[in-house]
Amino acid sequence: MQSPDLVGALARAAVAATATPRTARTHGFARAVVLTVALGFVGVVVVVPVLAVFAEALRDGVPAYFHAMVEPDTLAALRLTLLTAAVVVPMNVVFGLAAGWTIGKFEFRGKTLLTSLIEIPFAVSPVVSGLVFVLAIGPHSALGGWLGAHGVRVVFAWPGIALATAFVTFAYVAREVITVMEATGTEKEEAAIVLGASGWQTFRRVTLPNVRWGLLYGVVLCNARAMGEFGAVSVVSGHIRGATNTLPLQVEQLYDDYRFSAAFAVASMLVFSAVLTLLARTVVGGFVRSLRSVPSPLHADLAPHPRETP
Amino acid sequence: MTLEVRSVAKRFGSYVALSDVSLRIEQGELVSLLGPSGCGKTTLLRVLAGLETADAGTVLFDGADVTHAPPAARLVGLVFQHYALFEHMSVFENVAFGLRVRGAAPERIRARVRELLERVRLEGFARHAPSQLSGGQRQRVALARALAAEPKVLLLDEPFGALDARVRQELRAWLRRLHDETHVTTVLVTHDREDAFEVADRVAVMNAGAVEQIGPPAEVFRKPSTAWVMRFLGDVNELTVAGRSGSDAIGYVRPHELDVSRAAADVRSFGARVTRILPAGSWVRVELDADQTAHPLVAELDERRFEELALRRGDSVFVSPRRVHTFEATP
Repeated sequence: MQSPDLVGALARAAVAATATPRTARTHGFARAVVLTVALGFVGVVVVVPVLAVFAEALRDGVPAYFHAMVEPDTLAALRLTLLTAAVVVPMNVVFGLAAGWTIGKFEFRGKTLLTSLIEIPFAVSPVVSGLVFVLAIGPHSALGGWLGAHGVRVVFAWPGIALATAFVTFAYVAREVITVMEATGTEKEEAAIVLGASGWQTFRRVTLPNVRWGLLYGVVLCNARAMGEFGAVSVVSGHIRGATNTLPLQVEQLYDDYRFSAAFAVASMLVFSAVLTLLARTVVGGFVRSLRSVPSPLHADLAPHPRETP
Repeated sequence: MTLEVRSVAKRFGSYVALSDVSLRIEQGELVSLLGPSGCGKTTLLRVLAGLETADAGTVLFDGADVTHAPPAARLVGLVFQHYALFEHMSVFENVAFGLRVRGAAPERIRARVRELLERVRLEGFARHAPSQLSGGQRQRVALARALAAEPKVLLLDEPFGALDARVRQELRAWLRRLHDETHVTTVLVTHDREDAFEVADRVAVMNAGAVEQIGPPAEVFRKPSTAWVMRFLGDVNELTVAGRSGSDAIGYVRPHELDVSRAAADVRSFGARVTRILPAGSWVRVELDADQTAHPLVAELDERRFEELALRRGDSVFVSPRRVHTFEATP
């Protein structure tokens, strides 16, 4: 589920290959090859592993499958995963909107630098991101020691998990919002300000509605990554069963305990969340694209024939 | 409201957008800022709207200094070239926006929006989305939105720029009628001579961040004050003529003020050869080569005169300028 873009590209390639016009009949062989490669790749990389997850999960029968999902440790992991997403996604929405508003609507020194800084989490390995937090605020660091002395545990507790997850996912919302804000320009905001709107009124009534689909799209991606993050969380969590395990960590631990069908049962929960994410992504992504193309195809069918009178 | 701009200057980095502009616009006047792109006309409009702040100089509204006043405090209406409508709102909500953010009562908003939609002839479109309207209709919504809060000044930035020629023509005439009804002091920025000359009471021709000439359209066209204005306002022929100080000067002649005849008409006549004939509807454009001018000449003849002369390519004729403009220290 980490590579929906790759899957999408392959699917599009497959569709493009089948939709080749009649004139390309002579290229039938080439088409068959491209189609086979594309579908074969999707099959090997996506379909087979997903099917394997369910096959393994159901190996011990349906009752065992559901039993594995309601084990106390698994439920605790599910709660922690949902809590992490519930904390991280709103944080990233606020940050993403603030960053998008500054970068998309204003010109200032260091804008390029700020844009690059925002993209750092994409470039850094998640394990390194987690390690940075352990080093910076872990029990052996000055800050972590001070926090510990005041009874605050960050690393090896859920605040650390939330922080590491926030770091890994924080570019998702910002990047989508920045793109949409830059594309819409500043004219509408200027129109609102000249009409007498305050800064807040302009943001709430004009800017926010204009970026709402881009924002939602970013939220869907951010949420998916927040629930599925393994590397960074693995470093900061400490793997305390029933306390600091998220769903991906729980899968690993069950697997290490040789409880294969239980591990795959929990993994199937993540597969379901991935399917939901892809569905949301497709729906919202369709809206984003339709809004970016003007005139909107959503309205084109409904619109009466425009009368061209001044 | 009377608008006055005194010695306003504005730079963007090293680029001088406005060098030293002074301008006075009377209550109820419609003045056009006309010039090529990059001449500073849009910057001047944005300084008037409060979207840019002048680096130097003052902006006065009815004598009060508003140089540093925020846009909302200036009570101006602004219309953009690309409409800048709020796409997620209905036509009604677009027009109502200025009243809503200023906290007007709902009944007043309803009444005012209905009145404005009638005025811009879009009564039946209140619930439509902007994306369902044509370009001309969108621009009228933008105009209604700008007028809703009863601005003292209406600022139009290339309002016809994105429209095709026919709609543009109709909207120009309609805008002039609207202005005659409302008498809101209006500034129209355009690069199109026809926009400016058909609609405006006075035209301010701008070049390189400064106003070259300001006056009623007929005066600006007939008596351009600089060679630049002369060239900007239409095709010109450049002839070498005797200047006032005795030395040679450049004389500028409009194509329609260059007579063509079969015989030398007067002392100013000189010989030329027809190189090209371009019929263009009610008048005919004739291109000529003359030994005594460096550049080819262009004359515009009305159809009757053209038929009288029965010109053919290669004919030898005489041309004589009816009116010659000369300028002191022409660049």
